[in-house]
Amino acid sequence: MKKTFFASIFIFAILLSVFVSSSESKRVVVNAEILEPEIKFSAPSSIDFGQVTCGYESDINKIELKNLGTQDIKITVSNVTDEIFRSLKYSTTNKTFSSISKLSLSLDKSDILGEEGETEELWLKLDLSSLKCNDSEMFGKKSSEIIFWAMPD
Amino acid sequence: MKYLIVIIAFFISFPIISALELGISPIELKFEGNAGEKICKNYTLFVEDFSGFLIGETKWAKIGEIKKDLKIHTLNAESLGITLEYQKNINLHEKTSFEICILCKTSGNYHGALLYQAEGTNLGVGNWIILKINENNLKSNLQSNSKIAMLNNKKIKSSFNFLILSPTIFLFFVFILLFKLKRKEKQDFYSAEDY
Repeated sequence: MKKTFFASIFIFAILLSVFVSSSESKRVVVNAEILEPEIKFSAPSSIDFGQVTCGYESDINKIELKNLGTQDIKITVSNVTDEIFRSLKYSTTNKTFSSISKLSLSLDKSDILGEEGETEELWLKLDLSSLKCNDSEMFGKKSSEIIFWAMPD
Repeated sequence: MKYLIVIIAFFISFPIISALELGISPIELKFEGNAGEKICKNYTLFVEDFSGFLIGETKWAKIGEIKKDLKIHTLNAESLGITLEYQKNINLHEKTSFEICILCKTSGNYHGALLYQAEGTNLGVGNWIILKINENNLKSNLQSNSKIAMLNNKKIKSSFNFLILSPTIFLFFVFILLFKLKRKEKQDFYSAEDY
């Protein structure tokens, strides 16, 4: 009787220790570094349309706008004040061209972290076909700040 | 040799368009505080394939107009009574953190954009500024004090009611006790008479 009692206590203790150890082995420490979403955008630093005169169109320039960040972005263009560069037109298909001031492009982020997001090809031309060059100040080397702004969408 | 010169001339005739990368984080800067209080937050800027200055500016929408559309952000901070402290000209070479501090005198909800343009390029990035300014601390303190006073008044009223009710309840229990005692005395008296 005494032996059976001690044997049952011993078996119970073993079972209890197995249960405790098995429950301890399930503890897993999970680590992760959560990064802050960021806007990262790539575009040409300058666009040169070469030589052009009133009544004509410039050659077409193709540029690439890339979303390299971890957030969907929207590209817009700041107000163009210069009379000549107000004639700048864009197209996403190289067929129908619209005024650059109307540009509003959405570039999606990449589905996989670390990879490049959406890239949009943009065809640009300086359309001076309807512009009359009456002012002598219109001639010569011209440059204007047309800024492609990338903002969170 | 002739072919090599032709090839080199062919490549030189193409305009070299170098692409640069520009970035900012976080995507939103949320400020919340009281009128006249200076609130600061950090942001990070990064560039690649660019050496030069980044020119910073902020643009704001009309007060209460909250929309993520850069075209409606036409106002300057000064015109809205917003004072800003941040680095406007940055000679950036690597990923760097900066601080922007805002002080606004008038309460309301403001929406702005912090914009950085790479100097001499056609590229700019920005993030949104969400600014929530509550009424002046003194005013809100007065309001909260009056609210506390009202709550205290309610507490006093309820404790006053309890004070009025408590003797009544006490007397009620005393009365029941006395009644029970008298009944027991009567029962004892009759049982003694029976003997």
